[in-house]
Amino acid sequence: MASYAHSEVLVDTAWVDERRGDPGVRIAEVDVDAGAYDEGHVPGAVGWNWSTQLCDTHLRDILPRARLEQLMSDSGIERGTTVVLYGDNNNWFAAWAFWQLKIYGHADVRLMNGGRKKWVAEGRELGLEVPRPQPTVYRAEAADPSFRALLAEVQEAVQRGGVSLIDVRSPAEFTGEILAPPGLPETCQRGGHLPGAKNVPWGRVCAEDGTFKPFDELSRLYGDLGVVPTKPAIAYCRIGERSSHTWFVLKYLLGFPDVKNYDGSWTEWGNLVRAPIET
Amino acid sequence: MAGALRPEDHERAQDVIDGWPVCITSYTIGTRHLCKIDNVDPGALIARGEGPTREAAEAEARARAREKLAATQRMKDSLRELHETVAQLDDRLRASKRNPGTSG
Repeated sequence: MASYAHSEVLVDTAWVDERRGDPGVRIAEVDVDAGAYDEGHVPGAVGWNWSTQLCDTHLRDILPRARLEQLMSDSGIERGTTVVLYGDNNNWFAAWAFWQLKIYGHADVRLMNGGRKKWVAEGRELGLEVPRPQPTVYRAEAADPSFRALLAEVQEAVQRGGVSLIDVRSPAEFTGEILAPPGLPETCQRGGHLPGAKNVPWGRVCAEDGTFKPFDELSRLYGDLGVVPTKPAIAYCRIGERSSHTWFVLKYLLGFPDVKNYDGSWTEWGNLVRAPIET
Repeated sequence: MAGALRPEDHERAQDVIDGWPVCITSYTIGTRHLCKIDNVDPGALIARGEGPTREAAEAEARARAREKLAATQRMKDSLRELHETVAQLDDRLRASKRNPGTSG
């Protein structure tokens, strides 16, 4: 069985359990359910709220560089710190944080394979204490545009082709039967998908215990649809978080050299006047 | 470590609420009984509940989930009606082009 292209970005729960007091390692929990951290977390882990601390809600943008620096500083993270991210729902929003830390050039970022689900299922200790790390002076790099697709690039990809467009939402969202996942608020005018996009729901990359499936299975999942490393790829979903998880898989586990996350995603495209869609 | 607990009685099961597949997770932390209900795809939290017993926590979470899923059902029904209306209008337009003398 082949190994992941960049297996160094994954650590398992035991690895984290052994190093949770290590001053060179900072653990951060990022959940879909913002209340999960307060119920108990990996002892020593800081909690980041994706909806307030990992985006610019005014501009509808990723975290600005200065705020990223502040977050890292407040979390006691230095440029050389190993940052281990984990969260609920198979690391869904942990991957969103991972994507942004990589955009701003943090060298050593890892995901805890299986996330919160595996940690809890294994009965590992949860802490209630919120750590207060000694603040650092953190300087991020300028945002690397190669990890992110903005609207103009997606429009060009739709018009010219030559790029694998991967819609990672559920089949019902892909076909336009529903506009948002069940139970979540609607945020766009039209249902459907980008012309030519392939539907690979994000969760298919995970096993039942929340860990990532082996390289060969992942490679087959995408390869069978013509999504291969030799072709540039753009992943998207509804607001760009599910697709950051797929971006992680394609870039770090399968080693795609050119893969971007379109975080404008369906809430941008589905609301655009005259943008072509398929249902 | 101070304030450290271990989750116990962790259970996770799939169910259907008003036609929508969901995942129900229950566990206890200390004396707190907790329940969360996620949609199966993508696995986003729909509702949570907490109570003095496992059953009470689940009942609270289920009630809240029903409210939110009802909104999705309304939107789904509206979309279907919209698509049916558009299809009917398209049919009438095509018919009127084939028979320009008729009105409708």
